[in-house]
Formats: sequence, structure tokens, C-alpha cells
Amino acid sequence: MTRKQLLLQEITRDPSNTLLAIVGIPIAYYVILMISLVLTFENMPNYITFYDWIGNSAEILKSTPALSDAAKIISEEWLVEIGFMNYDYGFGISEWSLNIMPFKVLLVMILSVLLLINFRLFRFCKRNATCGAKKTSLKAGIAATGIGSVLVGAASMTMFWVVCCASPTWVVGLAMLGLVSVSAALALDPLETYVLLLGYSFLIAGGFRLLDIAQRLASQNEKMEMERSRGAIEMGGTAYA
Amino acid sequence: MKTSKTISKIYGKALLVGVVTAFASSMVMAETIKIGVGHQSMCTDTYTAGIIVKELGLLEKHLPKTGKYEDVDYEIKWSDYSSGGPITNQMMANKLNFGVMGDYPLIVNGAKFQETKSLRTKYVAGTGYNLKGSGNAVVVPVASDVYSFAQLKGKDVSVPVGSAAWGMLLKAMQDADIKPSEYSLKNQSPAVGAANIATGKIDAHADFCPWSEIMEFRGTGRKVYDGSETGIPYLHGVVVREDFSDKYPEVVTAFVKAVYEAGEWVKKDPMEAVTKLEGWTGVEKEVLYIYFSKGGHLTLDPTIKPEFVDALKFNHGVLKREKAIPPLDFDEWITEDFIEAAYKELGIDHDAEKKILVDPAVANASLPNEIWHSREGVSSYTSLNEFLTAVNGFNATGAKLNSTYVYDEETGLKLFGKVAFFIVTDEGAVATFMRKAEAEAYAAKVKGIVLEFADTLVKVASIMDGIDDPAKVAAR
Repeated sequence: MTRKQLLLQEITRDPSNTLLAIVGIPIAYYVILMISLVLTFENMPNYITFYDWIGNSAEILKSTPALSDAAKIISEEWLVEIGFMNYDYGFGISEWSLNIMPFKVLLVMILSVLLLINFRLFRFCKRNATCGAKKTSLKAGIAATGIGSVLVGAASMTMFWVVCCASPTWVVGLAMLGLVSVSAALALDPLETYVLLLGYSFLIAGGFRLLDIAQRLASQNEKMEMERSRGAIEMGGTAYA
Repeated sequence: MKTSKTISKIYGKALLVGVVTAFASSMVMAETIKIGVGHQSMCTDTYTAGIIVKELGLLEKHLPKTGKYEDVDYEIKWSDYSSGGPITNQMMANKLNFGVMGDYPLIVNGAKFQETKSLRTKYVAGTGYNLKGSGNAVVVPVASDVYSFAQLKGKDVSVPVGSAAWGMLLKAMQDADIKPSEYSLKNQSPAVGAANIATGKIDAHADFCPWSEIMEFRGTGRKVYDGSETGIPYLHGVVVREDFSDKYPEVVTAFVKAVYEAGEWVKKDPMEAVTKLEGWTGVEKEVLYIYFSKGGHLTLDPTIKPEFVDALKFNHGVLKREKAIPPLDFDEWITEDFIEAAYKELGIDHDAEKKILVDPAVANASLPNEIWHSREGVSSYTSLNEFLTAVNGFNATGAKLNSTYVYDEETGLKLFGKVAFFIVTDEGAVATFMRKAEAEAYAAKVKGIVLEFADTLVKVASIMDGIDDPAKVAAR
């Protein structure tokens, strides 16, 4: 079996399960982010706002001469905002919120697909792996997948914290959850694209590693099957002879 | 056959009439100009370009209605935000044309737009300023033993990162020679920072207007550092998308005229202004009074002065060092065209107003202290002893005082009486200070003592009554 055939076999395996993962992983991702916010700030969300993402994107396209500018602005457009409004001051001040931005959802969906493929390849290897050396190689693939997922997950965070000037960039999320210091967050801010690309690279590299092992195992199994069949034929031939 | 020809003719005529009518109606159909304004009802210094203009309908009043605007319909949308950052995002998405914000968010706005290939904003007017930088401040819990900025070494300090208060804090730390490793900086929103100060969960919180005064007024916080110590002007202003200002310059001029008129409305009757503003924003009127009254922190003036451009450049440098901002071409970004046009149309001398700079230390030197009685309103007292005697008098009758106001001897800033440090000599109270260290230095000079408000009231009452023992006065 070639790599391509093996990859296709794993991708097309159980389509309903695949669809469930593509939808389920992003949902789980945003649920985890929301739980993290609730635990960090110790208050439940008390407002939700829906935005006309399609209408707003159309307006951006219409009013932004450079397409590259428009694409960047649309990528930061909100669809849903769920957060906590503090009514102790004035008529309420939104303290924190989780924002659903379709572009970022797409990034998480791509992460889901890559994760699913790597998981299925891992499962294939696990089912067919027999010796310790192969298990060590498997670990490298799993580690790369893990690192990639963390990087993409971090760079896809869309949390908003009402500190003046802060916009829902990925480092705001890291700072909100106390994962990085303020100065580290500012220094990391421009690296979003690189972190994303690095994350996807790790995921893809991990996938290739697992695919490589899976393909070798598949070939070995095929070879063993063939030898077994040949043995059986030979044995059968001897008997007839 | 004949019938079908007749029907065709009727249809043809009807079609022709329809097309002509549609064309004619499209010719006379009024253009609708959508105006989106992003403002901040929890940031006092933006009010004259935001909530006041909105509530008094000043933009509608000044919008052009002649010439190319004769058949125009205006659709104005006001959006209230908690900070300047989201306003910039919304302006980029063309959901807002105008944005009103403080100095740091303003330069982030200009720089973020200049970072794009095809979009720009213009800084068209200010709203108000404090020449020395008051408005931002560092507050500690009221029971804290921290009385000076230097004591923050080794402490946890929170601030909304990226705000004007953050810039002030960084500069103050540099000036005080406190290295970043010598204090712990936390990123905190104004409301959370204020709540943490109230519960003593943080050593200090730096914030922008009017949060420090809200904490002082509510009796939870005490200032240990005022933005005026940086000496860098604190200002707010208006930015507009360039494509909008190019297409509708007269509308931008109208907006600037509305900003000017909003300022004049406040100056005419500050008491009415703060009472209405409390209803519009939810911020206590006594807090707003410290900004908008005569001698208040805020000088309402939309002109763009060279000193302000220098301050903005300085702020940009701070953000640049923190790697938090792209470059900004100030010459391209700032324009006085609209403010000059607005002043001309209003018959005001722009150049003369541009030259005026109000320094609270000079302007407030002889202003009277004030008592805000809940029913009788504000009364003024030229001497501190008169003021304190009057407070004692009101207290004796059980009258409810909303607030009291005195001035810092050092900076001329208006303070709540209850948070000031009073210098008391044998003649009674002679001066008030915002910070304890300066009060102590002054007390040593005049051979007086430093007292807080409640103790001062008792001491002054004893002096005025000729009683030696303040305890007897207190007991009485």
C-alpha cells in the first residue's frame, strides 16, 4: 500500500465521525476557553451579542480599496461575543469576553482535520506496531502533533479583555489566562502568523512521521501476509504432491 | 389581432411610464450619509466629542444642509465603548467614521491605519487636556501604608496595558529609577482594578480618567501619584477615516463645531452639565465635577497645540520601545484644516485660542474651596478656615454633604477634601496637599502639622473656638 493510498484510506474512513470531529473539536475548544475565562475571572458570562458578519464583511470589501487590507480586517470580524458586563460603574463595562471570529474558527477546523488524521494514523500504527523501536518513532510523531496543536490553539484564541487598546489578539488571551507576562505578550503579539505556521508545520510533520511508520507497518504486514499465503500454498502443494 | 395590438400598445406605454418614473425617482432620491461615531461614556475627557454632542443633538444642529447636502438625509449612529481599541477596529471595518479616544489609543489608531496599504485616519481635533498630565493616576487601597511612588518598589501594580495610564506608569517608573524587575506589572481592566483596590487585593492600580477619582470618591482608594508629575500633557481627541473626510469635509467641520459647542455648554453651567452627564453616563456627578467645574482637571479646548503634538510623539516613542506599535507619520496624520474651518464658521479666532495653555498651578492659585450641599448646591469659601468651619457647621446640623473640594498647593489640582492632607498651624489650616511627602515638607517649613480631613475639622474647630483640647471639641 502506498502512502497516498494509506492517507486516503484513513481520511475517508468513517465520514460521519470525521464530520463530528471537525465540528466537535472547535466547539470543545471554545467551551474550554470559556471555562478558562470563568475560572480566571470568577464570574459567569452575563451578555451575548450577535454580529452581522456577512453584512459587515461586505461593507469592508466595498470600502477598503486594497484587497489585502480587506482580508486582514475581515479576518478580525466578530460573529458572536459572549462576556461579562460589570454594572458597578456607570451603566456597565464589559470586562471580558470570548469572541467567535469565523476566520479563527476556520483555523481551528483545519487544526481539527490535521489532528484527526494524525490520530487515525497513530491508531493504525498502534494496532500494527510490534517492536519497541517503532514505538519510539511513534512518540516523535505524537509529540510533534501535540506541540503543533498547542501552538495553533494558542494563536487562535480570541478573548477580549477590557483594557484600553487591547484588541482580541491571541496574546490577549495568553495574558488573560496568566500564561505570559504583559511584556512577553507585547513582544509576542506580532508573531501570530509565525506561531500559526509553526504550529501547522509541526502538525504536518507529525502527520508525515506517523504516515511514514504506518506505511512501513502496512508494507511489512502485506509482506507477511504474502509470505504466509505463499507458505500456505506451498504447504498445500506439498500435500497434494 | 387588433385587440392584441392594443394590449401591446398599452403594455408598451405602461413600461415606458414605469421606466421614466423609476429613472425620475432615482434622480430625486435623497442620498443618505451614514455617520458612525465611536465614543466612551466611561472616559470623562471624551465627553465633549461624544455623549454631550449625542445627547444635545449638536451634530445634527451643525450638519450642512445646503449646496451638495441640500437633499441629503443623515443617519447618525453612536456606539459606546469601554476603551479606544475596539473603536479603532470598528473604524477599520468602516462601521464607524469618527472615533473619540485618549492619547495612547489615538496614536495606535493612526499607526494601525498607516500600517495598511489603502486606509488612513486623520487626527482632526482635540476635546480637552490637562497640561501637566493629570487625569491618569496611581491609586493604593485607602488603608495602605504606601504614601509615595518610591514605595511601590517590590509591589504588585496593575494597569490597563496600552492605555494612557500605562504610558504614565512606565514613565513614572523610569523617572523613579524603578526597574521592571523591581515591581510586578499586572494587566488589569479599570473595573477589576478598582474592585481589587476596594478589597486590597492589589498593592496599587494605575488608571485613566475618571477611575482614580471614582475610587477616591467611594472612599476605597488614595492617590500616591498623579499624572501631572510626569509633566507630559494628557489629552483626548477625534480621529476620522480619511475616505470619509475626503468625501464629506463639511460634515467633519460640522463635527468639530459640535465639539466646540459642547465645551461651551459645559463651561456655561458646570453644575447643570455634570448633573445631566451623571444621568447620561452613570458616573457620579461629584466625580465629574472635579473634571468639568471651574478649576477642574480638564481644560476643554479642541485646538491642536504644538505641545500636544510633541506629547503624542513622546507617547509613540514609549509604545515603540515596548514593541506595541507600528510607525506613525505625524505630519500625514494630523490636520488642522477642519478645526480652522470650524472656528472660521463660528467666528472664533483659532490662532488666538491655539496659543492659550492653561496650567492649573497658575490658573487655580486663587480659586475658592467648595462644599457641595445635597440640597443647597455648591458654596465657595476663599479661606481654608472658613471652608472647614462651614463643613463643621453643616456636620453639626446633620446636613448631607455630597462632596468637598480643595486645591493641591503644589500642582493646583482640584482634590476631594476628604483625601487631601491639611497643613495646620496655630492659626488654623493654611494649605492642602495631594501627597503626604510634600505636605510634610511644607509643614516643616511653616512649623505646622499634617492632618487628614476628619482630624483637621476637629483641630480647626478647637482653634476657632479657642479650646486647647481638640478631644473636647470632638466630644462636643
